[in-house]
Amino acid sequence: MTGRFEVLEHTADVGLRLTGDSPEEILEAAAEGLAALQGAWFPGEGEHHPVEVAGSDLPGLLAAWLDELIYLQESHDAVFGGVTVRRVEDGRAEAVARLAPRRDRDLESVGVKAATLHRIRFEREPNGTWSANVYVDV
Amino acid sequence: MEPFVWRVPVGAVPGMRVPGIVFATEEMATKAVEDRAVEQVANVATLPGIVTASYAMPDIHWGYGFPIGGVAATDPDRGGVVSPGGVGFDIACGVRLLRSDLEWERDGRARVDRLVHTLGQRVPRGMGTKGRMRLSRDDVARVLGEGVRFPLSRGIGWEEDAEFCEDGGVLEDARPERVSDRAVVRGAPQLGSLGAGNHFLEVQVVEEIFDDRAATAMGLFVGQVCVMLHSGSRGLGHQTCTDFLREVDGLMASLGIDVPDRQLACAPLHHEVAERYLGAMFAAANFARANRHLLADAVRECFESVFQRSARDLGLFLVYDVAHNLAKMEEHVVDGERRTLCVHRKGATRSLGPGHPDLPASYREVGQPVIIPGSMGTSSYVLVGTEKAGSRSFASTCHGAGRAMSRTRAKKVMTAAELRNSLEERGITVAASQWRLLAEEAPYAYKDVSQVVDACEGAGLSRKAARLRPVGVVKG
Repeated sequence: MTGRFEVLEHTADVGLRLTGDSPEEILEAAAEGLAALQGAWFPGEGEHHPVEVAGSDLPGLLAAWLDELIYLQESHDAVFGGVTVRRVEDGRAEAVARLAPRRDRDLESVGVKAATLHRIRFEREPNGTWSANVYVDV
Repeated sequence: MEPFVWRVPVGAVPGMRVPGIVFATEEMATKAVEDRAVEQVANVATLPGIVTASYAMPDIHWGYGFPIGGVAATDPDRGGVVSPGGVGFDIACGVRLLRSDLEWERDGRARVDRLVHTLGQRVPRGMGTKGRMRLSRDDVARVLGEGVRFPLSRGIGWEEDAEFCEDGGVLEDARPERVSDRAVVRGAPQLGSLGAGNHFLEVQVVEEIFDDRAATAMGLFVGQVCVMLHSGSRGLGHQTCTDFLREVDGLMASLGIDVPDRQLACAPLHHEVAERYLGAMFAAANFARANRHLLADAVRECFESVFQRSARDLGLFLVYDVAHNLAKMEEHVVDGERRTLCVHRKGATRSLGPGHPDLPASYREVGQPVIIPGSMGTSSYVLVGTEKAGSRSFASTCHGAGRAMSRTRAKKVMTAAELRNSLEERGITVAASQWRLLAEEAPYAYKDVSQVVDACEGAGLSRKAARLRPVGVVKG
C-alpha cells in the first residue's frame, strides 16, 4: 500500500489519521494531508527542496515534520508539488519536497498554524503496517 | 456547587493537584463533558504549581492540551510552570472594537454594501498574505519591543489608541531577541493582515444597551455603527509557540515533569527556557497588538473613502483592544495573600473590575471592556469586568461563542451559497476570501453567544454592557 490520510473530526481544529506500510509512507501521507488542508497540493509542480527533521521519538518526529512543511510553505509562499521521504532512521527523516511559487493562486484553506502534540501517536500495528494520528491547529 | 459553577474533583484524572471549576449552565456543562473538554480541565489541574483550581469559562470546548476557555494560574515561587500550549499558537489573538459617530439608519444602511466591498478590497486577508506594512529587520525588532508604539512613531493611528489597549498596547517585558529568525521570516511580512479561519472584521450596529453608565463611558449608543475585528500574531506567533513547545517537550523528562497530554508540555517559571519563552511570547503579543492597530488604521481609511470625511470627523475612536490567548504575570490575592502568578488564558479574556489601577482612567469606574464576538450572523457583546471575577477566576471571563460543531460537520449542514443567501436575507452583507469555506464558520457551528454571556453574568465573571448585531462581515 501507499500512505493514506483521512481527516479526523475535532470541535475547533482538524486531525489527520495516517496509515502506511512504513514510517516513510506515514510521513508522505502526512505531507499530502497537510497540503490538502492548506489547499496547496499541486502534484508534479515545483523544484526539489531537501528537507531534514529530527524528533525525540516517532510522534515528535511527525510533529516536527509537519511543522517544517508549514514553515516552508508559509515562508516561501509556496504550494507543494509532491514529497518523497527517503529515510526515517534514529529519530531523523530525510526527504525531498517539491515547492512551487504560489503566485496569485487563491488557496482554499483556513490556514494551518502548527502541528499539536495533543493525542499524537505514531506506531507499528500488530500486522506490521504503520499508523499515526495528529491534530493541527487551524 | 451553586448556579453556574461545576466542580471537577481532585482524582478525576490521576495527578490532579487542584480541582477543576467549570462556569456554565447545566446544558453547557453536559456538552463539555461529552466534548471531552472537561477531561482537559482536569488534565490542566495536574500542572506543577497550579493555584486554587483549573478553570473553564462558559464557552468551553475541546481544544488541544488546554480546553478552549481554560484559565490556569501558576506560582513561580512554588514550582509553578508556564505551558506554551496554554497560550496557544496564535499568541495574543484578540479583539478590537472601534466606535463611530455614524448612525445606522441615517448614515450606514445606504452605504454598507460599498463599505464592506471596500474593506474586503483593502484589508489583506486569507492564508499567508502580505500585510500592510513592509518592515526592515530593525523595524521588526521595534514592533516586537514596542507594540502599537512603533506604528504610532511612524504616524500610523492616533496617539490615544494606545491608552485603550490592554497594557497600553505594549508588554514592556518583551524580549525581541528571543524570537527566532524563523518566526521573523515566516510572520513579519504578514504584519497588518487579518489572516484566515475564524478571523474577521464586522460592521456592527449597537442594538441594545444593558448598562447606561458603562456604555456612556465607552461612547456607545443604540443605533450606532461600530467595527469589530478579530486577529492575532499571524505566522510570527505561530512559529514562536512551535519553537518553544518543541524545546520544552524535549526537556520534560529531564525536568521530571509528567503531564497527561503532551501538548501540556511546560517548564518551571524560574527555568531559563521559561524565561526565554516569556520574553519571546510577550514580543509576539506586541506584534499582535501592532497587527490589530494596523488593521484598525485600514478600517479608518476605508470609512474615509466611503463617507468622504476624515476618520476623526467620523468619530472612529478605539473602544478597547483585548487578547484572549495569553499568559501574563499578574498580582492576585489568594487566601488573603497577595501573590504574583502566571495566569494562562487560552480562549479566555481578562476581566478587571471597577477601580483596577491597570484600567484607562475613563473606564476605571465601570470596569474593563470585554469584547465578545459572536458567530458570523449573530450578536456580539461588550461586557464589563467585575470585582467578583478577581476573586473567583483570576479576573477572567469568556472569549466568544465557542465552537459547538466541527468544521467538517458544519460544511455538511449548509452550502456556502445557502449560508450566504441566509445571511443576506437577514440584511448582512458578506465578503469572504474563500466562499466555499464560509460554512465552516456558520452561526450554527457555534454555541449561542447570548447564553454564554448570560452564564458569565450569572457566575459573576462579567456584566453585559451592550449588544451589537452584524450588518457587514469581512471574513479572513
